[in-house]
Amino acid sequence: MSLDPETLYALTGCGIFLIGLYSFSIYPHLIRKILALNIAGAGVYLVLASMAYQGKETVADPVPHAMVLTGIVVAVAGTALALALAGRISSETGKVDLEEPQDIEKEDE
Amino acid sequence: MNPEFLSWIPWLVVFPLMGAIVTFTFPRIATWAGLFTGVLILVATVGLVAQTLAYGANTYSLGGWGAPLGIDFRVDGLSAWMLVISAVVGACVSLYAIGYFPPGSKASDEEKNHKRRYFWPLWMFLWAGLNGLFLSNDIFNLYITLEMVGFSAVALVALANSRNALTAAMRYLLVGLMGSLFFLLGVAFLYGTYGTLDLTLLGERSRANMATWVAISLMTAGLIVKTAAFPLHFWLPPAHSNAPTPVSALLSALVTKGPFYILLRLWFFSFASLDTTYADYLFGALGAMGLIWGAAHALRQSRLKLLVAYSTVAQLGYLFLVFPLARAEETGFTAWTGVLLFLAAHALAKTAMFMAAGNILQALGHDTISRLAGISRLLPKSVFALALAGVSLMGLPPSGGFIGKWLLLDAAISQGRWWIVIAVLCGTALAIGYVVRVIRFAFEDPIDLPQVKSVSAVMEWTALATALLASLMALASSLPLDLITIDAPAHVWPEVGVGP
Amino acid sequence: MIDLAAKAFDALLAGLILWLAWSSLSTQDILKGIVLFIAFGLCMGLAWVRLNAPDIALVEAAVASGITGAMLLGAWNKMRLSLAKMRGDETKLPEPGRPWLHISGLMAMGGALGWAIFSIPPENTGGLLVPAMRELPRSGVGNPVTAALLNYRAYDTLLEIGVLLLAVVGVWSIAKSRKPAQGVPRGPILYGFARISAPLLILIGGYFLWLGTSRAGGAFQAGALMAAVGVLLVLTYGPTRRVPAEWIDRWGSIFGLTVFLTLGIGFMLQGRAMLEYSAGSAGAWILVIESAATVSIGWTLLLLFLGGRPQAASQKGILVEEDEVEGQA
Repeated sequence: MSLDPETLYALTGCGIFLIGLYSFSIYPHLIRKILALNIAGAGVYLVLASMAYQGKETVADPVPHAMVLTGIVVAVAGTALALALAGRISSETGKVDLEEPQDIEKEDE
Repeated sequence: MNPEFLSWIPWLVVFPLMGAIVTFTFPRIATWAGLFTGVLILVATVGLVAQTLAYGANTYSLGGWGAPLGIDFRVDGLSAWMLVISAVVGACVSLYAIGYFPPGSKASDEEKNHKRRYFWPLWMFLWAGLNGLFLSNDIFNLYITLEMVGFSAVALVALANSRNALTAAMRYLLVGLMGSLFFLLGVAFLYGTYGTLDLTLLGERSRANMATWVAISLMTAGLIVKTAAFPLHFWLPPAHSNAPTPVSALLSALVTKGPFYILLRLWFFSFASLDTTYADYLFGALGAMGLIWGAAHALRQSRLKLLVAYSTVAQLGYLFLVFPLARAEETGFTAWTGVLLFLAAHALAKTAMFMAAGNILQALGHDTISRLAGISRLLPKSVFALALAGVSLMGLPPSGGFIGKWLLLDAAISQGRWWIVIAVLCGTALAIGYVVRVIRFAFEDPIDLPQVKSVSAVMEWTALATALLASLMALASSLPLDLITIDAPAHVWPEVGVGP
Repeated sequence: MIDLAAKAFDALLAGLILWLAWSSLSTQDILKGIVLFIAFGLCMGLAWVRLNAPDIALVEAAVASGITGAMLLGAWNKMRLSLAKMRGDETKLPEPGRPWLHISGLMAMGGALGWAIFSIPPENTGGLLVPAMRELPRSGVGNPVTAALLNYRAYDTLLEIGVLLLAVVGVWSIAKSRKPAQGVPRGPILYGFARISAPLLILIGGYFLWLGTSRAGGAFQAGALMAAVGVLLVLTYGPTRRVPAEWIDRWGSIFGLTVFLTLGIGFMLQGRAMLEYSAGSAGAWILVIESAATVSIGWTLLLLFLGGRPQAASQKGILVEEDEVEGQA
């Protein structure tokens, strides 16, 4: 008894999602965070597409495929927005990560 | 079904999308095109509400396919109520934005023109996303509307263009994107388990199994981050306080309510048949802690806009009390109504409060609370608006906030949930504290009046009008009740007559 | 025997994908991470093929790893230059946080996810395949994925094209477009490659668009290829040459959404539901929408790659140095 391809890829997808989530939470570099989001997203798409798989000889369920295509395009849009912001932040602050939330109570313009 | 009825629903998404295209393509007429779109949305919302009251809940199949193959819009009392809130708040904020982003100023004034030019299309996209979110009955479509709302909200925060605003926007975007991925992974599991994305069909098919629990836990985690409920609220105060004022108002009043609305859909409609006892307690505990934590922090703020932002964290806490309270058979409907009225009251009061705070910030050039002395003489309308909105936030009669809070307390007392009663009372005491503190400084007599910049009349009057709406909401509470009851979740359906 | 080989291949591929994901995120060097991410995308493409999802494989290669990779590289370069200017040296990577708490949380989450996958009841896994295939003749196209994208769930696609436009508006509101990479030697090979491949790619894009009605392909693939042509031309000639006027960019990016929305409303005014095609003419309308969407998707992706609002060209046709004006606007 071995794994069906869909189960294998669904598990792989979950693994990729967790790797992305882990790197997203521990690395402060903005580009790495954005990269991590893209990789975590790819994991989610893999889970979705594995739900569509009906066996080698059969056509796969098209609806999750359409969802993945939509998801990829939405992810590109989000990545572009994030990179634009990251670029502005690094040129304003000279840093590649987010500043710690300043002690907001003391902050006074 | 009455064909006329069907026709209002899609326009609520079509109008703002058209508005987005026009305001982006023709920046010169952006302000007027945006306002015109606002009027169209108001008209469509009124039409929709009238027809929902007359004919009851309805479903609209996009592309004519119908669920599960196609996507459905569904309008019931809850979604109509949310649409009304977003239309009213949206109209108020649009009016305010005329003053905040003045049209037709000199061409040399590049920064002002830039902000006005991009505010309108981004706000139109935000409005389209929100309306789409409240209408959609399809969990994957909800994901896209969440992203549409999130992206436009982030860009709107960044419009303030300060270092703090850019950082806050980035944090908001990163957290929001991760939250969406959690939601989408949950969608994948639900689709794999039930073979449908339709909320109604999920409700019919839902059963308790591991995949379902994991799916709704993932979705709930993502939505809690996006709602900024305690303890995942960390991104909210900087984002809401550093944004341009109209944006602060939109974020606090509407954007946080979108994901909360999806939580209601999931837990009270689609997955109501599962045993949710522990989840309800968890939500209730988070809500109770959030409302005390947020109010305590609001009390400690030295800047007005941050105080208002922390107050949002606190007020979101009250919303989560609906989960333990609305499950009870006898008084569930009281709590359900209470929370929905509270939500509307908070949206209006918080909009007014941010507007008033923004006016003060613009006039004085700062919003440090301890240096507000004399402002009540210089901006009497704004300070009055602040006070009126404050009354609603505290929950004193006759404001909208009072009715909502009263119904919640009523339900909590009759269910014997004393911990909720105590939390609500503590939160109220703290709210009185932070509102009174601001008002006290605002009414203090200064040694000499500070120099102020002028604030446009539109901004002052809109703040006041919104505050009046928030406090007079109580007078119109039979209409909301009629609307909210339409297809309310079965187990909170009133057995006997309810009402304040 | 073949079955066993297929299983071994799947297992190897899954391992490779996981390894690439891990090493792309854990390497010290961000640039290396991005390159590994592009490789990760290509291996994902193989996984899509294995899962009978050729449509996704095409989009993954073109968009998820192609355009995204190009955007990441561009942003990384810009960040590096602006930091070098500010500090005069390479920035050291900030230290990562303490991982152990995260790891134990993730282990628990991984367990729950794995358990959930095995607990999915097998009787429901058909999903919407049966209704999707049953309605295929009515949908006007032969490829079920295109039918789902542009007929069954056309509203999703409408909003998604809206999100793309929204991203352009958002990116323009935040940043100015990237300064042309200066001092990068562009040899004759690159020029020659661009000259031959650009028209070829456009042809292939058009073919994909047509193909999408019956087989794998469609607006996204075609649009992504168009964007790739744009990226190639920008990389070869630099954005300095013949920068299109700002209004062309605006109209190019709204085109797809406008056509899509207009048709959706048009159907409604004829007494049908929003986005409900009239019987028998669905195929033609879908081709119209797809063509408009291809133009806009390509244009939008290119604008997103450029990463900001167009900058006014100076007298000499060279872009204004962005660092001088950035921050004031």
